[in-house]
Amino acid sequence: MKSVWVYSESDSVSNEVAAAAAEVAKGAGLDVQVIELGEARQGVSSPGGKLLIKGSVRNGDSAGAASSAIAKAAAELQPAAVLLGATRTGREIASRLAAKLRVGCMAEITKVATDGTALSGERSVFAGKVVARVSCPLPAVATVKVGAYPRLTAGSASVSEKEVGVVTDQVKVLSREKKTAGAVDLKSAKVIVSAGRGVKKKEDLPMLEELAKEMHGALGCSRPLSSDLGWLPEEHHIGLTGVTVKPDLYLAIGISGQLQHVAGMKDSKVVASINTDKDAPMFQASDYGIIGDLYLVVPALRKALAARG
Amino acid sequence: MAGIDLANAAAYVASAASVAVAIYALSVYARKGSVSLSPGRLVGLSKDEASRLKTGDPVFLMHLSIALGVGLSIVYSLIEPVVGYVPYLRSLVLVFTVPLIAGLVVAFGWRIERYAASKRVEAELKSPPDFVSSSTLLQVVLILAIAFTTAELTIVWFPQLYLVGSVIGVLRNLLVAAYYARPSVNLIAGFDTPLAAVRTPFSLADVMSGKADPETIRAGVSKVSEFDQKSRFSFDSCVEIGACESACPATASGRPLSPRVLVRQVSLLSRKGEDASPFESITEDELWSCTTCGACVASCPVSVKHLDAVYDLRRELVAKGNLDKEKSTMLENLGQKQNPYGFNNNSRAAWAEGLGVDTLASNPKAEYLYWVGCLSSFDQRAQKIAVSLSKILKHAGVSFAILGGEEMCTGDPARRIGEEGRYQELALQNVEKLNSYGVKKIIATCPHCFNTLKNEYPQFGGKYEVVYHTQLISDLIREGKVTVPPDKIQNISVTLHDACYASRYNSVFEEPRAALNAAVADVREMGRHGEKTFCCGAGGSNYWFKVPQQRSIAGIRTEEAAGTGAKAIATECPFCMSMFEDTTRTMNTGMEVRDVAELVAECL
Ligand SMILES: Cc1cc2nc3c(=O)[nH]c(=O)nc-3n(C[C@H](O)[C@H](O)[C@H](O)COP(=O)(O)OP(=O)(O)OC[C@H]3O[C@@H](n4cnc5c(N)ncnc54)[C@H](O)[C@@H]3O)c2cc1C
Ligand code: SF4
Ligand code: SF4
Repeated sequence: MKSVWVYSESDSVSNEVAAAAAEVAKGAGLDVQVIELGEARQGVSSPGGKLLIKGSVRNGDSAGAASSAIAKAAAELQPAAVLLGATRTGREIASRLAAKLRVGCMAEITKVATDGTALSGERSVFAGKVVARVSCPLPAVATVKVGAYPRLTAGSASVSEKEVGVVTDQVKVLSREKKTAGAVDLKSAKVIVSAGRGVKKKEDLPMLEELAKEMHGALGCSRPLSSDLGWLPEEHHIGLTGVTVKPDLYLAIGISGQLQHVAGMKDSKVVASINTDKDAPMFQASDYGIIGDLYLVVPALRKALAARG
Repeated sequence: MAGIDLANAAAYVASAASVAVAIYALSVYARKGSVSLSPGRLVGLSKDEASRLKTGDPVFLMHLSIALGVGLSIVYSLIEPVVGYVPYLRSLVLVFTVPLIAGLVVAFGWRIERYAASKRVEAELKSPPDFVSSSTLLQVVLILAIAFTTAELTIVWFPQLYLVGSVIGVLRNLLVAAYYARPSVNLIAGFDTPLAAVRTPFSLADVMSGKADPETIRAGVSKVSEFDQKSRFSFDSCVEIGACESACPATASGRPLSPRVLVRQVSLLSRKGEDASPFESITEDELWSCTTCGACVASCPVSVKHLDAVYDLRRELVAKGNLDKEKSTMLENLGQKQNPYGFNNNSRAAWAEGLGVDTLASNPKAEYLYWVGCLSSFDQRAQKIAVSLSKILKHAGVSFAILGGEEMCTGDPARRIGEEGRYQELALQNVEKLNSYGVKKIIATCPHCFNTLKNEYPQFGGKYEVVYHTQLISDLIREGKVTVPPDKIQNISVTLHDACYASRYNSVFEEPRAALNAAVADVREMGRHGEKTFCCGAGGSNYWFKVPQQRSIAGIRTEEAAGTGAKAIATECPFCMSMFEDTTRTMNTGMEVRDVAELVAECL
């Protein structure tokens, strides 16, 4: 019996795509095989069986390696279709896989179905204004839109194995390194202390840096501090032309709150600001505000934090 | 002496033959570009050139000198045998040669200067050697053509040198035939194409109604053969004059873009074959560097349409998804929140609270719709423009209303960035809304909204009478409906920064001056003003993203404004305002930034 293969590097997306595959397989007399690379994952379920592809490849390896491994297995086992999750990696694997197998590829489809000769589905174009119906003769590769199917939570499945040996990838991973300690990761910071032109000189920044550390957060800034004054590297700058952030707490210190800045932090959970000017627009974008000189307020704040321990 | 007579006769025949070759070349290119050389077009072109004469633009004057110099020397070479028989004819020709020779000499000097500048630009852009040599060739040809023409007109003064003059004339005519026939045809074809005309690559309405297949339409261009024929003909017409490059704010700021190099790159690629990808030589940053200010197209003496390449190639980048976070966030915001900043669209009318401004929903009979625009809706600084205009309109008793939360972005930022689908989506929704209210007249305070509503929406079924706020304000002042006291603003000197999309795109530049002069005692003028304005750097959606540059465009303009000694920059565009609020602050110029409407409202 021909089968529909499912693969995603993400457990939860794999379960969504498996649900899509179950629907495709149902009427067409196909069976579903969920692909695992290297070793089977606990959280990944299948409505049919699992196919463990063994060789020099693991789940989460580069898209090049993953597509080579799946292509090798598919060339031998001849699945009717391979469905992947339309994640960033999934899209890359799909296009590489389709090219290797010399079959068609459809991107981000929903309502996946087959009549036994072709794989079809729908995809939204023009920002969702128009739905295009697309189809591609079998065998075919497609990515399934993430979030379009409920996750499958079926129980255990029988696992078969396929050995593909050494897979090659044009891209060699030379080493994996953590981001250098200095680089800020504002996007994932829970607390951001952000400095504006209210800070009078570069030498005063360490005070705010310390505050950020004490609050277990990261230091951000308004554009003039990075682009015009060059006190901080560009990646610290938050706003329309910088990074967009959504921390739990955003503390704006000496920032007037121009739209270009607010556009980059308005979705923060709680916004607090410190400014000498009671009419500063920043206060309108804030949940809490302290009208005062940052050179008095920040030391007081640090003292209070230290007292709390 | 028979020998000399024979030589003269032979020279005459050669001249006439070379003229015929040039005319033949014109007809060949006219056929190639499907361009009509009808007398009507030629008269239209002459009228257009005459109107440009009035602007006194030096680059234009130089090019007119070249064109007329070539024309005069050709006519003279043809009538030479009879000149001696018609009284005063020679003197008349001699009188004409004087200003033309002067213009040609200046043009020669300018060419040498442009040559040096263009080589500097190519070095910065790291243009490959084959590009550089091809550009050098064209520039040398141009310098030769000017030199030959100057020599020919000078020789008219020395009849004994007739033979030398004829030889030079023949060489020049052959250069004209080989190099300048196509650009001449392009000029005849394109001189009256409005700057605001943007190619519409497909119709979203057709896609939605099933008339067009969404899978087959193409927005961008991935091979040179996919450029519109007219656009390509215009790119191929570039003869390296370099007027565009000297006017371009992106080049001036050291961004990786020169409009001259851009179109020449496309043109040279076509030689590699119809399937050559423009991205073989054109980089993404090059395309993002453009502010769509239109200075290149407006200054080109032979009507090259550089912006066609920018739009078509940006569309391709969008289609391929080659967008960084800043650009994609802006587009996402437009799709989800109907404004490019991602604010809640329902809060658009917050500025109007307590001002007694109606919405169309509450007052559908209002004469004018005031289209506020996104920046004046959400930016606290720019909101003051809206407040000031409302004050003026109320003072003058003009009946108006706003759309409030029903207003959406016009789509301009999407179109300029190359996301045509999202642009049309917004345009169609806005037109539907406007038509459902039966809107007839619209006032805009943002030149980008103004341009889109006025020039682009008619294509999507939205036909309205659109006025710019500076136009309406100056009308109201002239009609006496807005009276500014004679002791108008004395304490501050002001210089007006013309917004490209008002002045260059829509010829609105006298009205803001009339309004400003009524309100402010001391108004100064920057060198580049009116249709020759220098962009603030925000256009073409550049407001939303960064481009590598050596200095900022807004900074260059701020320095120019400060150079007038004025204490305030008057703006007429919320984006220009925002740019200069930022530069005047970070450059510590101590200058204020005020919209024309704010200055007038202050006098009421
Ligand atoms: C196209 C464009 C894009 C832009 N993109 C961005 C962007 O992405 N991000 C961004 O941040 N900006 C951006 N800007 C710049 C933006 O317009 C503002 O200029 C900038 O955000 C202002 O920075 P600021 O608030 O630090 O400085 P200012 O506006 O000068 O504000 C300083 C504030 O500090 C207060 N202050 C002064 N002294 C003290 C004190 N002792 N204690 C407490 N408060 C004090 C003042 O009252 C004032 O409110 C952009 C501008 C443009 C034109
Ligand atoms: S439109 Fe303006 S910025 Fe763009 S290339 Fe032309 S002159 Fe330069
Ligand atoms: S923002 Fe202002 S100056 Fe700049 S492109 Fe628009 S109209 Fe031009």
